Amino acid sequence: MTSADLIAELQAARPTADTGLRERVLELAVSAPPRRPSPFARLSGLSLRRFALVAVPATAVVLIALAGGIGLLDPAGPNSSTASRESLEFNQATAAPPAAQRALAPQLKAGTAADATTPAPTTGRAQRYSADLTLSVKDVDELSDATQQALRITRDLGGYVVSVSYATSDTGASTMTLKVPTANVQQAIVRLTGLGTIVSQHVQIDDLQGQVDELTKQETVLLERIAKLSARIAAPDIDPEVKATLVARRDAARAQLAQVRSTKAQVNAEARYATIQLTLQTKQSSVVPTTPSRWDDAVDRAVGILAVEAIVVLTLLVILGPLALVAVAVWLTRRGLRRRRDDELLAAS
Amino acid sequence: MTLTRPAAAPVRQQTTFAEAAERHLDDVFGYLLYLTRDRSLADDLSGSTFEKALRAWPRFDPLRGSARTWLLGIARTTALDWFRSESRRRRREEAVAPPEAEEADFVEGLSPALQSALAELSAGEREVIVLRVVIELDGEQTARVLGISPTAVSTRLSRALAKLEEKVRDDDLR
Repeated sequence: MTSADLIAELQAARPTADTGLRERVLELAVSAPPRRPSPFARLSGLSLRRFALVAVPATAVVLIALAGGIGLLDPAGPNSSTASRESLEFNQATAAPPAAQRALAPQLKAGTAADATTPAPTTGRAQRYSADLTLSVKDVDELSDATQQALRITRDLGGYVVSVSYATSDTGASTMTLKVPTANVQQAIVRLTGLGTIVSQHVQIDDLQGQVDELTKQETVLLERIAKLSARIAAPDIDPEVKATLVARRDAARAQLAQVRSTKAQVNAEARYATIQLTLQTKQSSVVPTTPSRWDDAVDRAVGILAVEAIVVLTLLVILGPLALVAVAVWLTRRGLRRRRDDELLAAS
Repeated sequence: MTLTRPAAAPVRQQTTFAEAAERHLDDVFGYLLYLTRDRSLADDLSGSTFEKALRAWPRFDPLRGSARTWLLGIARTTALDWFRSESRRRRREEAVAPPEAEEADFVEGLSPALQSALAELSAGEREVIVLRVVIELDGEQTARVLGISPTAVSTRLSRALAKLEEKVRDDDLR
């Protein structure tokens, strides 16, 4: 008898249940409640691979959507542009003057004409005049031209250049310290501000006349003292010992006079020339940070949230991963042992 | 009341328990009969199987497999439970009583040689034969019921059939 014969005979003698069993089962079956699969029945039917194929992209989409949503709805996060804006404002209003001088240091709005609002030095008084200008130019070519023109304007007005710093790459900036006769400073500022768009302007005037007057008074006093001492020293009947003392005092007065005159000359020189700190920069220069847009803020925030989510997911994987592996290993081992016991049981029966 | 055995057609998703029971009762009974070689026991275990199935019916998901393989899986669990308890009982009683004689002709219509050869096979070997040959499950369905791979099913089946053929031949020679 071949296998085919055996199979044919086995199939021909297919067992059927007795009528009694049929009736019992049917009675049982008619009382069955309708099948109401739970909402999770579909999920439980998914294989691990199918579940992962759906769950992993879905989780990623949810996390990205969450990050994007929060980023768009709440761009003003702790690392958002607020700090940048403050920084920008700080740059535009650097060197805030003391309260007493604030009236002389008006802040111009960007792009306004300088001549109408720039304060002029007071004629006839010694004053220290300092101006700090930041101008924006279109590109690096214009930056070069504007820098050269600034130097030319300075020389034309009788001034001189103390220092120049010029640097370019994709963007560029040049910084110059210029000395211009105080009498021409207003004209200089007007001409210099014409080289670009004003980003910021700060003018400070310190009155030096009181200092000059005081030095002049000291000079007069010292001259008078020296004249008196010279007259006494020249007297014919003077005691040699007294004469020596008077000569020493006259020499000291002369030294003091020289120092006063030197200081006075310095103050006058400071008053004769105004100092202009001029900064020229291209529009994308990093000197003045651009205000980030709402979209940039949202993207920055979303990236930040994604980074936090990634850290959380990695942490969970690191902590729970080994535990999950152990649990799976235990489950597989128990299942294998149970199957082996079942096989042994059936083999022995 | 007489229930006719329907053909093994694919079960619709909205099958009721009564329909599934009616359609697959003979499969469950036949499987348990080959496994236990005892009509009366197969009858009892079939009843238990359908009681368990009735309780589990609300959780049955056709997407995970057909009602037939689901019912056969429950039947297998029920039979294994019985084999375990029987194994414990036999160990307890073997010392004081000889083992009970099992039915020689447990399937009607089979030749005595084949009946005898089947009786010499283990339950595990008869199990794969009944599922693949008698009930005519395919390899994948059988693998699902037995909890092994289709390849393992194929290997077990060829070994079991070879052994059965050998036993029948030996019986013919005697």
